Parts: sequence; C-alpha cells; structure tokens
Amino acid sequence: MESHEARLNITWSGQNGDLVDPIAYDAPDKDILQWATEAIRTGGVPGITADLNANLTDFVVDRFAATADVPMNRIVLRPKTPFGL
Amino acid sequence: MGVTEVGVVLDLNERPILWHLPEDRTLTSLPDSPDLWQFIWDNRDRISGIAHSHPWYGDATPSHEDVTTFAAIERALGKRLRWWVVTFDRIMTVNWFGPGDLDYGCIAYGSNPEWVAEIREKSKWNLTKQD
Repeated sequence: MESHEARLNITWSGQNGDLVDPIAYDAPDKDILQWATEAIRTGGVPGITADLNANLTDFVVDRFAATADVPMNRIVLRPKTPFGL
Repeated sequence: MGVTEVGVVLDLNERPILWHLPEDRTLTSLPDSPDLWQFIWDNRDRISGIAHSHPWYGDATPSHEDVTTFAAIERALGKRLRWWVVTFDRIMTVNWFGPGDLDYGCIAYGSNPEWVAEIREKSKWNLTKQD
C-alpha cells in the first residue's frame, strides 16, 4: 500500500469488513460513502453479505494515519452518535 | 459543569453498562463520539437500548438529530434497539415502527427503572427549578 492510500473498514448490519482494494487517504467523505455503499450492495466487502438495501445515510468517516503500531492509513465508516437539538 | 444531557447504555436486563459523560456535553447536546460507537459495537450482543436525558421538565420527544442517530446505529448493528428519552418528570420509550427509515413511535413509560434517578442526578436536575 502506498503512503497516500488507506484501508477502508466498513460496518454494516452487524458485520464488519475491509474493502479489498485501498483507496486514497484524502478522498472526499462523499465519495468514500458512495464507494462503500456500492461495495456492500454488490458483495464487494469480505465479511459483509451483499445487501441491495445498503444505506449509509448518517454514517461518518473517521481517518487514522499510519503509526508505528499500525503501519497503514485506515479509514473507518461508522454511524453517527450525537444526540440533541 | 451545569445542567447537561447525559447518556447511558443499557444491557439486556435494562441495567446500565456505560454512562456516557463526554467532557463536551451541553444542555442541549451529546456530541458525536467514536468511543461511544466502539463501545456499542464491542457490546452489541448484550445491549438492549440507549437512554439519554433532555434536562428539563416536560416534553420527552426525541429530536430529529436523535432519530437519525437511532436509525444510523440500528442500520450498522443490523438490529433494533429500545431508545429512551428522560426529562426531569417524564420518560419516553422510542421504537422503530416503520415502514420508513425514520418512522419511530414514542410511548410514555409509566414506571421508574432504578437508573432513571441516576440519569437525572447526573444531568443535574437539582440545579433546576420547576415553576
């Protein structure tokens, strides 16, 4: 994996998996969410059963730069968690 | 810290397993929290629901922000939860009724689980006055 790339981790419907191909670490959130949605719908995420109804509305993108312990950039998709007005 | 919203994650027996007290909570909000999500995910098999306070007297209806968070978390978990909104004098349980993604219904809850007094205490109900 190149230094400008990242592993994309996705959580959907009680399952979690990584997209096989790396993506650009600085890709826009909107693009990442669209790629992830398409990947889930087509069964492109190992560990996540294909789901034509995948809907990542209100999911957020967390980015974690490579460290000595985890030597690759990671991008993690998860649901938002705020409460309030 | 004054009066604030407070969250609590409830286990399958509807007992607290995590008090959610982020430093940046306010009177009207609990901010987005990767740590809260990680806890929910790690404990997804033993969670029945999540409660949060609306630290005032009266209406306990969830906000649009609340409902969209309920829906996103449930889609990620692949299961439905029971959501609770607690004010200083009311308790509401909120569940998805469908068919739409954001079609949640509210039911007034008649009794007081033990943790309700604690969520009110942590929300600093004692700093408020009811006219």
